[in-house]
Amino acid sequence: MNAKPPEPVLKSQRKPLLQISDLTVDFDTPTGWLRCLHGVDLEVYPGEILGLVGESGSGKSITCMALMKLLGPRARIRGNIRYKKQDILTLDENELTQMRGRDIAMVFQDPVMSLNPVHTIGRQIVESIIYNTGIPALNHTKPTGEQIAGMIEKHQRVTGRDARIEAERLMSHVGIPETKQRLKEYPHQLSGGMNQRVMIAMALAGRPQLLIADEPTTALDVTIQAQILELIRELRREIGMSIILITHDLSVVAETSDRLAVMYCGRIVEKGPVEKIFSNPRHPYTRGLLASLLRIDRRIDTLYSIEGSVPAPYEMTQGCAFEPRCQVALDRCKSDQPALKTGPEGCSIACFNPQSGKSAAFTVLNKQEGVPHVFQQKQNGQPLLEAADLLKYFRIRKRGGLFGKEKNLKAVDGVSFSVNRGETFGIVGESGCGKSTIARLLLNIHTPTSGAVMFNGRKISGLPPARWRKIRLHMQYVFQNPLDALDRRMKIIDQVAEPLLIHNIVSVSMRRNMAAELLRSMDLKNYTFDRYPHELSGGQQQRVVLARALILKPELLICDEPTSALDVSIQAQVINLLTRLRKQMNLTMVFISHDLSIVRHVCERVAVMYLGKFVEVAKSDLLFNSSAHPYTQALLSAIPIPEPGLNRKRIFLEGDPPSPIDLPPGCSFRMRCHIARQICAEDRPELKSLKDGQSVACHLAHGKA
Amino acid sequence: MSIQFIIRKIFRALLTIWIIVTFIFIALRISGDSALLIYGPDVSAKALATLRKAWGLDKPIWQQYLIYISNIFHGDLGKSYLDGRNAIKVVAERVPKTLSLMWVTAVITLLIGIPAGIYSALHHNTKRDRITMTLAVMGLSIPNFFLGVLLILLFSVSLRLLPSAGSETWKHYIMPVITMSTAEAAVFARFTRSAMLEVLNQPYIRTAIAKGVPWKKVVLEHALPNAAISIVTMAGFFIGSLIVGGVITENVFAWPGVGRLLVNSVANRDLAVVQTIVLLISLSMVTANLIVDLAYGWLDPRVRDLRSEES
Repeated sequence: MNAKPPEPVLKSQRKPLLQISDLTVDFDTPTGWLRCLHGVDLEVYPGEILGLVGESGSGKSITCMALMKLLGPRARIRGNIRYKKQDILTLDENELTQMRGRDIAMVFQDPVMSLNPVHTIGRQIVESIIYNTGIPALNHTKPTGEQIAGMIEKHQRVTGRDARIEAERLMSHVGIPETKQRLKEYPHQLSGGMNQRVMIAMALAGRPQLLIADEPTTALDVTIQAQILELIRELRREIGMSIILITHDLSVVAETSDRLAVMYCGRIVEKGPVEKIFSNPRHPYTRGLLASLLRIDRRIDTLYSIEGSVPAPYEMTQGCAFEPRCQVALDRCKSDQPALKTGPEGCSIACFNPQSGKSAAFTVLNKQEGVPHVFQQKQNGQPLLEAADLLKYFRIRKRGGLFGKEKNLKAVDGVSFSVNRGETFGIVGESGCGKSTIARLLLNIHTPTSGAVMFNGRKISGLPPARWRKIRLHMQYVFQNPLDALDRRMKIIDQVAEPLLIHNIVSVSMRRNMAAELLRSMDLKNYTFDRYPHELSGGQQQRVVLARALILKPELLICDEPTSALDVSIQAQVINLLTRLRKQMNLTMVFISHDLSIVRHVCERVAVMYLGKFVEVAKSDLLFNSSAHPYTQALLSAIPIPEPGLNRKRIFLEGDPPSPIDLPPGCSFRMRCHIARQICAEDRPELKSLKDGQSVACHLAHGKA
Repeated sequence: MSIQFIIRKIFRALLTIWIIVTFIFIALRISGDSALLIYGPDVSAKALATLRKAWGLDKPIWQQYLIYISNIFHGDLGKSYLDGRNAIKVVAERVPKTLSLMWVTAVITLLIGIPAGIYSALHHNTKRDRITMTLAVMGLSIPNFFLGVLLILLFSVSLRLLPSAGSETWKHYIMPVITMSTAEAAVFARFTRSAMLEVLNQPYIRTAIAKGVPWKKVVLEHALPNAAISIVTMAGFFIGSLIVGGVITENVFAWPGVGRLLVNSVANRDLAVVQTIVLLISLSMVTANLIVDLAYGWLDPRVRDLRSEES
């Protein structure tokens, strides 16, 4: 499934389909022109997948938007973008409209937001077909504006029906079932994965030779990501078009791309064939990115992380943009800008001091690979946190009848677990599985429909607010988006000191000192203390949130997707900090995430959740090495591994999870399960223990054991 | 859109009207003794008693309320104290004149306001945008009565081009319509501009451009239907301000409509007529909002689904 099409011809002998040279983009801001791209050179060969990688602010999206001229009137684009024989930057508005969708098509990150909410799926695909077929493409003839308009008009009248047939064909091509029904539906009625397929169908309408996919799977769950990436690979195989895949995820690149270009601060810092760069990365930034990757198939104690964060365009200094974060920087790097130089084997690099072989970071990491990861656990019998048969139903009214029937949405459907002191318990699952509802139940934001939460042996669910306040002293939480969790009009230090004020536990003069001390221990510099949240980077913000949660020295910390909003290099910093702090403070943690790689790294025990139920609970290493539930196995196999050319057998889950409102009888996973039998449809499996504390809710796993 | 949803909305509208009707009743009773108000303070107790009996004011308050409600159902809102005719009839005579003025004003307002807003949004942050918005702010800041008087001074008194009072010919419409439309069109221009700007920044607009839809079509077929959802919200308020603006404008230009009748009736303490007009205004406001609500569902499929789940 992973096989790449045969490409005997050497890249250097082929002519690129798209050649970007010296592309600069400036934005008109109130303080003058702001340069966001500094001379990008990039080429795409026919039939290849080019991975364009970088953290947020690296300019990868701007590059691709520039070559479609989608940046709007406030952007000044200079340089040369040669598509076939034409310079895209010299095209007029009519020619651009012609080129878009027909020669180059684009798929965006958030498929639900990227489709027009008031038009049906069918109308949007048909529109793409109408505007992108029938009239000669670029370079053949050059019709005038009126001619084009006339042809579009004529075309529209002729092919209204044909276009619908073609739309259905495209939809089934990209794996959308029940196309007739789907045509009439609106984007909000479909899942994210389905919407992304619609976007791809729309992009394919004009049979473009180049497809730009801008983070096409970032907003999707892992199992859906695996489906979409497989679809993209298949399309390349079948149609042979070139694809630029923009992503922040190097693992995705390793699994899909032929060539790779790494961007940093509006420049390409390294590019070349994927295998070459993964096996021998030479730019310090590429090396850092690769080293800080979390891998599902390995476990290490301390993650490598790149110090600092990506500077904003207005903070840029004279020399190499990476110099402040670089460990091998030379004096030259401060003053001069390294140019992108072509090296052997089709690799190019922009660095005065390119590295090779395994760096210090790599060797340290490799030594620790596979080292079992043991935390001292103070076992004193009683668990710190217990959840007993938690149930949370939301009442939903569905259509039908004059007043409608009330139905239950079973967000959490009978979940029990206990967390020992000093332990980190992970809950993983895809969006909508109910993992965040559990966090809210633990924190008393929701009251459980039935069941109870016990903290320190006392029942805490349903307590009145006044008594909750005392418990919150011992129980703190960190949520996903740090900027939303912070008060934007309050200084950092005051926010961190605020819990002390609320609980009135130390003297006024001590509060700021304590807050400052804690912030310093989290590697936040003094100058940040009197700033406001928006002035800090995402990683710094999340550390402030963490400091605010920890200043009360809680026993329990509940983290709901604490790193999902952060860049890869920053994510590693925050995870390392969390690991260090929990050892220092002997914290007990409940760690909720969709990302199995992080959960594996952080947690001792992990529960896998599907549609409101735990389907498997096991010690972390056991779960990742010998998972028993088919859903866990599928999740694990859906995660991309940053090793190009790795051929592994994968389980692809089909379709989307069913709605938690009308759950079928029997096992709720059986419709997507690759080993389901008759019994799965009749009887709902309960969570039963296997061995070594591993328990699983699957009829077939128990039969096997 | 489900039928339940429409029924529920209509039911809510009726509930609102009942609350308004009750409120009018209470307001009228606590505003003082109607008999005294009509006859004035220098009147004999006997005359007052007779009047109270004639108007049913001597009955217990709850009976008065029930009679009042049942009268409304029979289309009887009392008689004008001035000429003894049915109040509804008195008001109904004036409705066509007011409606014709409102209708013309509404069309002119929307035809100027919405395109101006779109034009401004499409030329965001350019000179054209700034000029349009400056004009809008100017239009917004001139009070109706002042603009009306200004127009009369200019076109009727100095230039003698247009009639200053009455409603007989199309020429009579020109100044009242300009007076009312100016501020309203300015409001619509500003609102349409911001609605369009928000929509134009949405990812689906970028998608439409990226798939090769010509810019004109992107604006008309992708941006406008989405912006319309927020513009429709304005329509509800628009009816309200048309009515308020109408009262002032009708008086400035001696337009024989409901607004003028309202002012006269208030001056003459003709409570039955005032009450009828207030009821008419609230009815039209409730209807306008009902239409706005239904229009949401028609314009926005997300709302449609949300509602059928709620209902």
